[in-house]
Amino acid sequence: VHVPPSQWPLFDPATLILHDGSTVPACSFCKKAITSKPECKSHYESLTRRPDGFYQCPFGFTSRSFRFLGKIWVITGVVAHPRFDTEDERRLAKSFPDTRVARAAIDAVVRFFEQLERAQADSLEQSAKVLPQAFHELRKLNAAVLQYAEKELRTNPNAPNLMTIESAAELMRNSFDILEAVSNIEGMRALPRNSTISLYDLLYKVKKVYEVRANERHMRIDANGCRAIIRGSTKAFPMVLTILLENAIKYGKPNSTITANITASDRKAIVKINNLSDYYIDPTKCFERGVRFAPSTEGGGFGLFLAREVVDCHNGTIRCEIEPDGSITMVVTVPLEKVAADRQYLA
Amino acid sequence: MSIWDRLFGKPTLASQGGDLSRDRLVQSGRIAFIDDEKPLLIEELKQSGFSVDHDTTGDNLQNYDNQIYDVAIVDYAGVGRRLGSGQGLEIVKHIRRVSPRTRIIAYTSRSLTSSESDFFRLSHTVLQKDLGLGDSLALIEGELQKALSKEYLFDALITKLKITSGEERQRMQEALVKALAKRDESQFRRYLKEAAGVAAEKGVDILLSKLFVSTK
Repeated sequence: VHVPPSQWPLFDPATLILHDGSTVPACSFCKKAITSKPECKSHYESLTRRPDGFYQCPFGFTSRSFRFLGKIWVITGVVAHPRFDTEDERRLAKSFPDTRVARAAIDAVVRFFEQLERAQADSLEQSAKVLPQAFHELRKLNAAVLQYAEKELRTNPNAPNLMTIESAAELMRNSFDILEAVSNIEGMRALPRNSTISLYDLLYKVKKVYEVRANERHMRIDANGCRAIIRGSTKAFPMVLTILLENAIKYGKPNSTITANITASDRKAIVKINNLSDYYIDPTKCFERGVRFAPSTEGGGFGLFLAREVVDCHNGTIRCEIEPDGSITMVVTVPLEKVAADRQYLA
Repeated sequence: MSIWDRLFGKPTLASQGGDLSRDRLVQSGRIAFIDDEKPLLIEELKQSGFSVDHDTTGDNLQNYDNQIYDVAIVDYAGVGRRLGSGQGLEIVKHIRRVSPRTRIIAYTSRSLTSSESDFFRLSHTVLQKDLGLGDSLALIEGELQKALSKEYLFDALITKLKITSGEERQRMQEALVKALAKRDESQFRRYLKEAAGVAAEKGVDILLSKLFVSTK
C-alpha cells in the first residue's frame, strides 16, 4: 500500500471501523434478511450485473458494490449521506442511528480495498521475480556442497561425514526438484523427455540416498528387478521414485521393510513400491492435489499429485493398491524402450 | 535383396559401428560450455580428457557457425545477451539453426516460466546444475555418444542438405551404408556430388569426417 498506515481509511478492517472513528457495521436486521428474504437475494444478485456504485436495497438501506480480487463485494446495512431521500430510508435512519455514515467514508473503505489489491499484485509480481532467483542461488550453493563432497570422497572414500553431507545434498536437491515442479507444473511438462533412463540404476541411486532416512526409522529398503530402460526426462522422472520411496518411509510402519521391484512385460516397465502403513489411504483420491491422509505427519499433499503428473507426461499410469493388513503398493507403468541384456539383481 | 542380405539382414546405419569406445569418445568429442560462471564440472570434464571450450558470454558465434561442436552445454542466465533478450534461449535457437548436428544440453536448475520454457523444448536434454559430478559426466557422455552416432549424424546431414523427399533420403542412406561398409569416404563424397549436387562445404565436410570416424 502506497500510503502510510496513518492515512488508511480503516484502523480495524475486521469490524470496518474507519480512521475517523465512525463505524459501518451490518445491522442484525440485514444479517437475518439476507438469508431469509427473496427480495434481498435478488437485490444482491442484481448488483453483480450493475456498475460499482451506491444502490438502495428493498428495505431502504444503502448498498455500495465494488470489485475486489475478482469478486463483487457489497457494503450494506447503512444509511449513507447524501441519501436517496425515500420514506423507507428516513424510517431506517431513525430506527438504526448507528448505521448513519457518509458516502465518502464508504468510498474510502472501497479505496482501501483497491489499494490492498494493488499491493497484493505488486507483491506477487515482485516475488515472481525474486523467489525463483533466490531458489536458483540456493540450488547452486547445494551443487557446490554436493560436488565438492563427491570430489573429496574420491580421495577419501571412507569418510563417513562426507558421505552424510553428500546424501543430505542429494536429498536437498530432490526436495528442490519437487518444490520447483509443484510451483511450475507447466515448466515440468515442457522438459524434453527423450533421454534414456535405466530404471534399475535410478532405483538403486534413490535407494542409496534414502537408506539413511529409512535407517532412522529402523526400516529396510529391498530393491530388485530387471534393467528396464525407458525414454523420459532425466530431470522429472526421478521425482516419481523419490516421492514414492520418501512417502513409503515417512508414512510406513517403523521396523518394517519397503519393497521396490521393477519388472518388464508387454512393452511396459512396471515399478511397484510396497510398504506397510498405519494410515488409511483412499486409492482413488490419493493422487489429487492437497489430499492428505496423515495429518499428524508433516507434508503438503503434493507428492502423489506430482508423481501422477510426471507419469502422465511419460504416457504412463500410476495407481494405488491397498490390502486390509495395511499393505500399500504404488504401481507405476510406463512404456518400455528395452530391457538391457545383462539382467542383474540389486542387493 | 542379395543372398547376403537375406541371410544376415540388410546392413543399416546402426550396424555400421555402434557405440564409440570411451577413448574414441574422449578423442573425438568436442564440447562447448556456455556459462558466465565457472562450474566445477568444466574442470571435471577437462580432467577426464574431454576437449572443452568455456564460453562465458556466448557472444562470439564463429565456432558455432563453423559447426565444430558435438555437444553444447548452455546456461540460461547471463549469456547470449548480444543475440537478444532471451539469454540462453537465443543461443540455443542459433545453434539449432546453424549446426543441426550439435546436441544441446540445457544447463540450469532454474525454474523457467512458460514463455521461457522453449529453452527446454529446443534442447535435447536438461542437466541440472546441482547434479553430482559423476552423474553429470555420464549424462554428457551419453549425449556425446548420440551426437557421434551414425544415425544422428546422417539425420543432421539430411537437415543440412535440406532433403525433404523420403526416396532421396532412402537412396542417400543406402549409399552411405555401402560406403561405410567399405570405409570409403570418397565413394560417398562422389555420390553426394553426382546424385545430390553437393560440392565441398565445410559443414558437410565435418559431418562426413565424423561419420567415417572409427568406433574403436
